Amino acid sequence: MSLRRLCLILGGVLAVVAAASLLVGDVPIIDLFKRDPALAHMLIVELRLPRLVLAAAAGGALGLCGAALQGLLRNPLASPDILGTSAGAALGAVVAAYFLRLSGTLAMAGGGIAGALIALVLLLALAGRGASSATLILAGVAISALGGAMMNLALALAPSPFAFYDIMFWLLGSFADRNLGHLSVGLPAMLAGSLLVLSAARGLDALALGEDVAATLGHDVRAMHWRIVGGSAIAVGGAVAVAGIIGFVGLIVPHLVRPLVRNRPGPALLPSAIAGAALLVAADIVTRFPLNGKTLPIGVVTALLGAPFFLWLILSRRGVPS
Amino acid sequence: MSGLVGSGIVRPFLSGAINIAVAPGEIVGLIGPNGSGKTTLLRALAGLTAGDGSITVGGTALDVMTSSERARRIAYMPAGRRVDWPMRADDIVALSGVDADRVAETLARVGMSAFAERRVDTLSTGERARVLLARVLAGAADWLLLDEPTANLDPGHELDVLALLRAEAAWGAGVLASFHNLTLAEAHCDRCVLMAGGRIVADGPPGVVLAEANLAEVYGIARDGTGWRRSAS
Repeated sequence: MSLRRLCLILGGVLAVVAAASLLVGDVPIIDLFKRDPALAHMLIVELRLPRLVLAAAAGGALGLCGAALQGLLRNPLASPDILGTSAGAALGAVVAAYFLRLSGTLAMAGGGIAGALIALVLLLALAGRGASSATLILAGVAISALGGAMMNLALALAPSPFAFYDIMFWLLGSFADRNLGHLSVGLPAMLAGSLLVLSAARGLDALALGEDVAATLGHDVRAMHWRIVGGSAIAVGGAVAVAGIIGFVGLIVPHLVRPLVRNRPGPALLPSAIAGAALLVAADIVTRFPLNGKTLPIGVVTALLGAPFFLWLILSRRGVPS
Repeated sequence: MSGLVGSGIVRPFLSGAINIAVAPGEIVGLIGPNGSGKTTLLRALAGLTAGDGSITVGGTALDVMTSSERARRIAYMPAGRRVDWPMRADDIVALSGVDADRVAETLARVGMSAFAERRVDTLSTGERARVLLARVLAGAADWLLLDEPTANLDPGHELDVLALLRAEAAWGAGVLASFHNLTLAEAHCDRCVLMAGGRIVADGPPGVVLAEANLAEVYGIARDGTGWRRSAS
């Protein structure tokens, strides 16, 4: 299957779930269109469309960054959540919003990007380039643990019970009640970061033979490093700032996509972005079916899907020398 | 000077400044015990490390070339046979930036046509080594810097690799390759460069470089019929 055809098929899937995302919800939209077209129109444009676009952008960014980080670090376990990037972004956003008293989505996005960048740079400094799977995952676990502990500290020091509840609920991840304000901040960050990551796609395949070979084939390995690390920090920071921590998308999606592109890490990027967008839009639809009268946080949905997949991944790698 | 010339090269693990030259059409065997600096020298000549000294190809300094021009002139193969993703053999060869016809042709030259669509993780170590060699040969670079191109190969395939390198040299390529199989190096290289302790201790015709005195001093071995034995120290 050619790359173009794969992208078209995944794009078709994304279009279908996107249409479903606009139609499915508490309010039966088709009935509403018959009764009050103006209200229905407003509901779609001001509530469901921003939510759809944010979910698609965040899923696309997470899928893309997962695929790019796996390619760059030559490690199938790399992803923003496993490496501690998401935890760093969340901490950065919380510190910016609740402790530096910088109000607004823009401050959270800025904090998120800074936190994600610090976490990624720390990871590379700890694990070094071309680190083994074990070292890299260990460094990621350490950074995640540190981020988690700092986050708990932030929760303990929360200025008010409302702030505590806000932070907690946001951390679980959701696209509910997101508006054009979130969109105007989150979308540019996710798009810019994703484009920066995509610009490094060309040399990823050669990197499979090691940094030396990639360099002698004419690829600027250092520039690839910074584009993917910087782009991932911007995209993941933006995604976390508007939607909280959404785990496993960046881990699972590249694994599903890679066999379809003959396991080449470069061509896996774009399909991973589209598939990630489709997955998260679909997961966001699932959150709208209330359980016990409450809507589900999307981070919980992706984790429930992702954790079994992660277990399967560990089992399938048993006995494979790293 | 039309060759690949490194002069005054200073790098960590090399002692003093190293001078080395490879002429077009020549196969130069880089030999020496483990840890003698062969890989460090090959990586320096490939432009992978920065440091004192100058490296020129055909009179042009490596530093002033664009990365794509460098890639066209110099091909490098590391000693490790690691491929991080289970990619297909033909996709590996295509990393050299050549078209599908050239990929198929090069895989045929290394005798791997039947394996073109196989994933590299399903190949034996020797088969993978031949695919990686095809990746190096496909680009038709002027200079081949190969770190142990015959490692992990059976004697028949060792000879095949040397025949492929000889064909490259016949077309005008200059080859600098490290070897641990001294018999092979002696029989097939035009010239040998012997390294020990991070410096070049001998450079010349294989028969001269691989003289008893050099082998005893550098490797601690002596000829024993057609093979080798530990020399009395």
